[in-house]
Amino acid sequence: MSNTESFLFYSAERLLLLIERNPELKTISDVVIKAEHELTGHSEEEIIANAIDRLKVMKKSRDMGMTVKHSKSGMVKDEAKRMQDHIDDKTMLLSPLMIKAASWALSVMGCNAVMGTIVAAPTAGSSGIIPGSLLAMQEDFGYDDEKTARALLTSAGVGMIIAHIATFSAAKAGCQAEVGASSSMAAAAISELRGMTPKQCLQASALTLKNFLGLACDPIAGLVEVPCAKRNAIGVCHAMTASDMAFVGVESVVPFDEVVMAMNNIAKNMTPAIRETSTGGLAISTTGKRIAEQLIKIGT
Amino acid sequence: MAESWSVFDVIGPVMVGPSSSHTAGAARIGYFSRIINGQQPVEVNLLLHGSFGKVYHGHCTDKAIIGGLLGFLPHSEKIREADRYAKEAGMKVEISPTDLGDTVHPNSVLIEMTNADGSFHRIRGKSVGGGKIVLREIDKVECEIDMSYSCLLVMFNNRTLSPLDIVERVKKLNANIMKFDTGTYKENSLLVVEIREHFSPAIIHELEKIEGVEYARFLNHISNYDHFAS
Repeated sequence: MSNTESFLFYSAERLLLLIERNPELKTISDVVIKAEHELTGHSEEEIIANAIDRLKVMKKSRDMGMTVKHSKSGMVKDEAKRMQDHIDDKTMLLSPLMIKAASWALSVMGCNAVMGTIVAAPTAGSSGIIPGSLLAMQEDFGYDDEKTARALLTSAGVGMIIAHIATFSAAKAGCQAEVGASSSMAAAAISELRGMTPKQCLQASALTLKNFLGLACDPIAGLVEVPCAKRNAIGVCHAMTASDMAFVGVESVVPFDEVVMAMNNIAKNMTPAIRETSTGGLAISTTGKRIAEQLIKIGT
Repeated sequence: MAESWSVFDVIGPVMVGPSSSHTAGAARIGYFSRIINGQQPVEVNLLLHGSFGKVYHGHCTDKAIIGGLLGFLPHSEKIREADRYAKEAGMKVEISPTDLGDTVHPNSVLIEMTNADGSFHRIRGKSVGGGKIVLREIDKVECEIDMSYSCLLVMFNNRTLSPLDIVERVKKLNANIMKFDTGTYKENSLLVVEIREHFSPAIIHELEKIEGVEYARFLNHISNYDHFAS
């Protein structure tokens, strides 16, 4: 066995240490590419080409979702189109970039709700946040596909840490592990796109994930629609707010790895009623129960 | 190239919605079941257990499994109309929510397949999250196949053959064997060999000529590096 340094990382601490020790590694995506090569044997070119392929699928999902009128249950409608129509509306509170990103997150979730093809990122229920924020940044700032693909790999790197320390399963840890995880992955990716340091990227991830701790998974009628789709749009805004905060030097008091551990700890205290069983929270609200009963009647 | 774990497990799988466990995983179980069945079945009974039985309609778990049985990959939008394609292909489908017992994973399905030539296969699989699956039972023989590698399956009569006889034959084909495992039900045993190579249909045919081999199949791992965008 050869004793070469491993680039695998299962904590933000280890990730930052690898960057500090290896001057040729400048960004989180640089380390992710090394780690992926170590895991699969694929070359840097192949890894980037594969990430570009994923971005292409994401763009198609976004375009398809924009045409959705309503899902089979009727709970997901034309929210994406509605937001897109107001990107340049001066009376809106959010910046045009944030409106676009939120709209596209809704759009991918609309595509998912009508059985369109999506990239789970990291899950189907949280598949809108990363494409929404990355594709909107790419369009508004003109980043090329390779740069955007590298940012996608950065988000995957943050996801690897979450998968190792905790989980993406809402059945185990609620929505904090889906929309929370995805938003914190997006926060690092968009921060890397705007040239922030790896440390700042992970600060943005920590700030984002902290804001989702304890989030219940309580979908109406068990469908990946309410509250999932709209939570994706708002998740984008959390990621962007956190990125801006880290950009101006705001720091999370609790480092990222510990926030992920806190998520795990909270998961242990969550009752099964709010862990993807649709027996608590919004699922058993008066409206939630009424919709679930109606859907059973019409056989949806 | 097989990969046991990849960053594209995090940004992936590429799949039709709405659920990675109830749609993508279900499609994968159907897809591999078709390959093990060896042909497109003419009659199918889907016994949906646990959460699969309760919420299959809203997540299109049934369509996903049927699509898989028709040979559609988890990202194929044809899954949306799988029931129509099944009808066109003359595949009769029964769907029955069922209880396979407390020890069975809640996202499980038992697929019973009858073929035009009268042959029959039954396969039980579970969907364990993120589109990942494990095949737990093939023709009553228990197994643990997670498809992170490609694998060769050989069902044989254990009164005529021993698993090592077959492993020897596979080794002679210069296959890079990663791991092998066997399971048994009465006189039937299943050998599962995880390998890196692709086996041609000709080699599978050779293995099937060995006396005592009931059938041999090759299951090709769905790689994270397949192209999905086109």
